[in-house]
Amino acid sequence: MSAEILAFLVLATATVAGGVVTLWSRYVVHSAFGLMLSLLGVAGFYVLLGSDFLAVTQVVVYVGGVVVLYLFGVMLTPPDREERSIRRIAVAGIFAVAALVVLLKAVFGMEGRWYGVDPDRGPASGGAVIREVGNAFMDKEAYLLPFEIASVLLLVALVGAVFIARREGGRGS
Amino acid sequence: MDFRLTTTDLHALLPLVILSAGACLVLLIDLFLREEARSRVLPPLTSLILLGALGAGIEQYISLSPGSFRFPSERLGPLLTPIWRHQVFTAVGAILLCGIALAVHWISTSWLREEDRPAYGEYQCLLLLFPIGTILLIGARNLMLAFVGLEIFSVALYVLTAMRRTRSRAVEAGLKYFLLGAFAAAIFLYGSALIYAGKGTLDLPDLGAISREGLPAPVGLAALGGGILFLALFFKASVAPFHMWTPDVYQGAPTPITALMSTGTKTAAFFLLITAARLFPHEILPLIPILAIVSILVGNAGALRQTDLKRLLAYSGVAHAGYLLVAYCAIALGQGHQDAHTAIRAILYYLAVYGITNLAAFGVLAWLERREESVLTFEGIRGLGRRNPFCAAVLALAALSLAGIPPTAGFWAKYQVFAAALSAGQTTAAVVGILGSVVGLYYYLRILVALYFEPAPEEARIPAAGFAGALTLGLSGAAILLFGIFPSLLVDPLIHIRL
Amino acid sequence: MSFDYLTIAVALVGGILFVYANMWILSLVRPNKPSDLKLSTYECGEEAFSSSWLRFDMRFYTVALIFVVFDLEIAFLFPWAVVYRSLGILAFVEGLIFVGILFLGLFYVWAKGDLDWVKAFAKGRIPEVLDGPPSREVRKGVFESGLSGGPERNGGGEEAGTS
Repeated sequence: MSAEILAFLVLATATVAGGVVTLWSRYVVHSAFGLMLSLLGVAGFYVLLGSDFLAVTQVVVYVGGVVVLYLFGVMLTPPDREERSIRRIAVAGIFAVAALVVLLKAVFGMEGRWYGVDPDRGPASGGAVIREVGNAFMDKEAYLLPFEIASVLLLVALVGAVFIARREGGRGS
Repeated sequence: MDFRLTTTDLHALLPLVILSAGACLVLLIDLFLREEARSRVLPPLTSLILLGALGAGIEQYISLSPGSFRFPSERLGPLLTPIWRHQVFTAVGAILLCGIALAVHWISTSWLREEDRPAYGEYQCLLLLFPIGTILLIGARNLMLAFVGLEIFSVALYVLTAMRRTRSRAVEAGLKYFLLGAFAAAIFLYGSALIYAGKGTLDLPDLGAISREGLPAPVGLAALGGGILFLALFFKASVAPFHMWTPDVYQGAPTPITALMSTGTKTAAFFLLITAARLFPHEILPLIPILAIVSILVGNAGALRQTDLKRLLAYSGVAHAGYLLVAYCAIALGQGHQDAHTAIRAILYYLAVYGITNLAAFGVLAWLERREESVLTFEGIRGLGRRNPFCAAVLALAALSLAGIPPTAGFWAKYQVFAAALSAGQTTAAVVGILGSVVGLYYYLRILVALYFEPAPEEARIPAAGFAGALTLGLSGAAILLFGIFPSLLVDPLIHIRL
Repeated sequence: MSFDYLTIAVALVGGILFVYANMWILSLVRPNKPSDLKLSTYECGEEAFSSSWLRFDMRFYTVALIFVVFDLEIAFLFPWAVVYRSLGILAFVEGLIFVGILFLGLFYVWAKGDLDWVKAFAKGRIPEVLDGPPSREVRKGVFESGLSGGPERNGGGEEAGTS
């Protein structure tokens, strides 16, 4: 067993375990930490695939940012002490399994699979990916427009969220 | 790789640049003004920005139409071409959406003044951001750009919906819309990812390629991704069975925002449905007529039972999404270039007319609505014909146009949609559509009856509308009649949409 | 897989092992006599009287949200920073526009007082505490303390957690 497969197995276990904790924990805080583990595992996958930029982004944005936001969100809500309804779980489970089957069928069953994946080609070397991303961001024929407009998206998210979260009395006068 | 910006590129993005700069400006100016000054400075400024963007859209339309003294800029080769559709199609979308935003802005000025703490800066900034997102969705040649656009206008709408946080209904509407909308956005992104996995590109095909003989059909992961992508778009267009959120959200949102949601979102979603038509998996193409039929049935059946006018218009919106899908069948299932071309023009015509009509209807409702929302029922509009003939006339015209009765623009819209479907061989969907419109007559005429043939309650008082609101209503009412009597005024400009 | 990540993995696993191994070794030698009092949650000598799970102030959330937005900005700017030297002045301008729009957001949030911990002070909105309208100096002073004075003002917030 090569190191890569071992790493993959460890990461896959962590990711799935994190997901299971997220779903099954009775405490929302534990769910959030499970999610963090899961997201870290995914970051590990990105490393294995040679996309270090994506891995760093995953850690910085999701693990470091979004999960923290979730934790604050969890703290804002009163604890939920209700029992899980079996029926609801069953319904959700059926949908999830159906979706999984369709997806697996699409990945393995149909013709025309992954585009342009060459298993013999090794992962890209570190640093090259980020340069490529940067060039694509600045290239007008590629992603310059989405890059610039993403700042507008972040602006609307910032203004909107702060506006909604602002307390009644605290409106700027 | 080229990093220079040419004037052609700027020309292609002019409405977006004006709107973005305007939104930033409004936000900035808001910080430096006192409460009283805001209500005097910001609304005219917003009008000016939207008018500027509208003008830029019209200028684009003129310069891109054949016969203009300038070459279509595509031939000049703007470097944005791989990602941006600098075509009449986009210009039409920009004009429509800037117009919608402008009308909503004018409707809402007097409404906003009624609020306890009018948040001019945020409201108007978000109102300016909405057309940015929708125009991006329309002009995008790349799914990533379309996604950013989708998110921009969705986030703006979530916030605008939940703006009145002291009202539990507004909060409920905002939360529902946000949760479902966030899922829809995630689904959109997931679909895009699968398309990328299957095809190695996020490009949306050219307009010319959307008739079926163009590109090869999507297979495997790309087909799955395409199907998932369309779920999100159907959600945004409130096509049944993805319409569950519509009545509650329409009812809970502030009325001008409901107008924005019902016209703007639907317009943008259908524009993207058109450009993404090639991504729809062929195996489930027969689903589209079924969805159209289901939407028409669900929408009309739901509307029959409503007493709240906003809910009624929500269900009517579902039915109208169904009528639009009837024409969409001609694009998705039609056999040739000509079918697709006719259908696209029919859809755009319908969207324009539906936009004007719905703005008129919601404009009247926003006018009638004060702090109490209970007034927006059949009870509340009883005898309005005598109490306020102008409002009543506009609402009556809008109802007639939504019903599709001849002297109004709505008739021609429905006519074109069904004609396009019939000529493409989509008989079943078209027949159901026609039957559905007949059922729809019932509840639209109920509005007329309430307006003119029922006695007015004693204590009812109509608040005064501002000049801008009245102007919007007058204009949209006139447009409904004008385009109804001279449909070619609106049909001819759409001929320039080249495939 | 490049070798650098192996070092990271080794450090990660080593760090985790170090903690747990120590705890395990200690558990072998330490006495173990639990009682109710020992097992109760330590609350600075006070007796715990309710769950530690209480509603946080909304302001925590607002700050976290602003943080995430700027976190994302970094994710966008990082690739830009890597290439911008090779692309010259235009890439610089493009990055400037990006940052500028976000900076406007920050400016908005700041100027509207959403970053202040005790907002009412910053806006000079509670004249009943001070006699008469607060002078410019007073407002300025309170504004600054509102920005920087964390914990001691925190207690004053009616919803802030003090357990």
